[in-house]
Amino acid sequence: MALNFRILLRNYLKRPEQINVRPVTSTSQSTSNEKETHFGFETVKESEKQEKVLKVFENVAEDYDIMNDVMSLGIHRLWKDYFISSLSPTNNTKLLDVAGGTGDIAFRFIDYVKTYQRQNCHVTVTDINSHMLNVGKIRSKALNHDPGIINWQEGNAEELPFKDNTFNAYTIAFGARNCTHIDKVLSEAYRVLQPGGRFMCLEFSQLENTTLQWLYDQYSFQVIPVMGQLIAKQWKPYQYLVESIRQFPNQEKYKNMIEEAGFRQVAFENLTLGIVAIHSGFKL
Amino acid sequence: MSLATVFSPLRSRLRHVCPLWSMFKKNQSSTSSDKYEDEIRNKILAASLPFVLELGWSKECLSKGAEQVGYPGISHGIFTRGAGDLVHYFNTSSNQKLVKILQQLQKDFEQKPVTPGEFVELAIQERLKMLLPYVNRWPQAIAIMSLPPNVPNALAALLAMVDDICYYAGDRSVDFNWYMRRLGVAGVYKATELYLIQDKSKDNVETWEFLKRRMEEAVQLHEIISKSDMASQGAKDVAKSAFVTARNILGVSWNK
Repeated sequence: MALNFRILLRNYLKRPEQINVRPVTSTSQSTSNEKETHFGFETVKESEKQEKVLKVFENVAEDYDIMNDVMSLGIHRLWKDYFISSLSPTNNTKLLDVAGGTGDIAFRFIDYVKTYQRQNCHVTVTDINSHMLNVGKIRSKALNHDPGIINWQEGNAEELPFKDNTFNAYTIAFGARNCTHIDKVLSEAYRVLQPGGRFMCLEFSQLENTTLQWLYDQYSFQVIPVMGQLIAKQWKPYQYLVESIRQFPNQEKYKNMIEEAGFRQVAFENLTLGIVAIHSGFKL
Repeated sequence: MSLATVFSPLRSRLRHVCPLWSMFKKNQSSTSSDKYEDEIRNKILAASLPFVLELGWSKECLSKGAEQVGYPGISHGIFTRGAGDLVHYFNTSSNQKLVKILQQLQKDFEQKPVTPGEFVELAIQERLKMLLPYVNRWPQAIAIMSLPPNVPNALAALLAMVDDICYYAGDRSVDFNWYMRRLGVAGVYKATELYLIQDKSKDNVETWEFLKRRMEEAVQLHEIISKSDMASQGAKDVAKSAFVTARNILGVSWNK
């Protein structure tokens, strides 16, 4: 309660110029039949969420990685390394990395494939946000990647621009949270994967221990937006970040959603006490 | 009610430890979808075994197996314990083969009965022969099954196997000998297995000699213990604690 009040206060008194989201009033609800969804703790129309998320990431694209390092104390690198090592790509892996604009997962995949000398592997990076993709493309060039191994494609996770059964691995790291319809994302993942293909998702989740969750909440709400303002000169996107983490379904619920999409052998693994979780499923 | 009568139903329960993958899934109901998934798993595992000689007990082996049955190599991730799952599959499927052999042996010996000791020796020999194709890679398998996450599976497979052997050897005891026999057979089996992996003799004759000597000792020991009250009390305590520990490790499935 107190927390919500503080947020309201901050929104209305301190930073009025940054509020480009009008709170949904009762009149707009009655005039429109459109479904609503959450954008952080705000309620917005479904059609609006995508645009808002797009804006958030446009603003932060360049400082994205430095902010990740600051906020997670560098641990996000370990999470991503572990994510790829538990995927353990083999020969002939055709990976689709969704919402992977800056290439964090794709580059780790390429490193893994090189280190372990896997043959005939390829990664397609797709992101709804061309700003993020551009950051990734520039980095890929700087790292001298063979253009034959990586491919960049703008696209929406809910309507992937790929044919059925195109890939044998699908990763989405810190992206599922930002999508409006998680069920659509999952069914699209199922569609583009070949039988036997693996779906893997790295996403913020919930801690099992309530005391630690409280501590984590304090850090998220009191420290992260401030750091966002100081380092990336943006408050709002980081406010959104921590709110959207709380809105995302917890480990068990998300696991059920993945199973409903048709995946089998679905399991999850908590990292760092559940701050993030890796969900994995197979199209069998 | 004596402890022995409490634990005697273990024999029938032990056999259910064996069927694959049901072990640590709590509240698992064997729906048709589970069956479908198990079939795929077993198909991939069976197709992986021929690659063990070349690639060892490994993830690479599992991805080759997956490719053999038409899945992409990346689906090796289904097996969360990696090589541990592959070794466990080998153990449990070999145990199933052994049961068929034991049933056959039992029929064969109806006319000319053998002592339980001889039957057990023959059974252990049959089971160890199944390792022979993989004998060069077997030390690796032993190492994998000694890793803490794989120990419960390894123990379960071993106990299920010795239980089958004792059952077909004619052991219908409900007293403490139940434990003694099974522990004894497990001990002899494991010792002979270790002998086998370093045996260079032709047709492994030295291993079978070793097995014979261990069985003779075991039978003697068993006789001494069952004749002497003092010694048997101590031995019974040891046997009891070992089995209770094993049962606790595997309790998840035994108390379903």
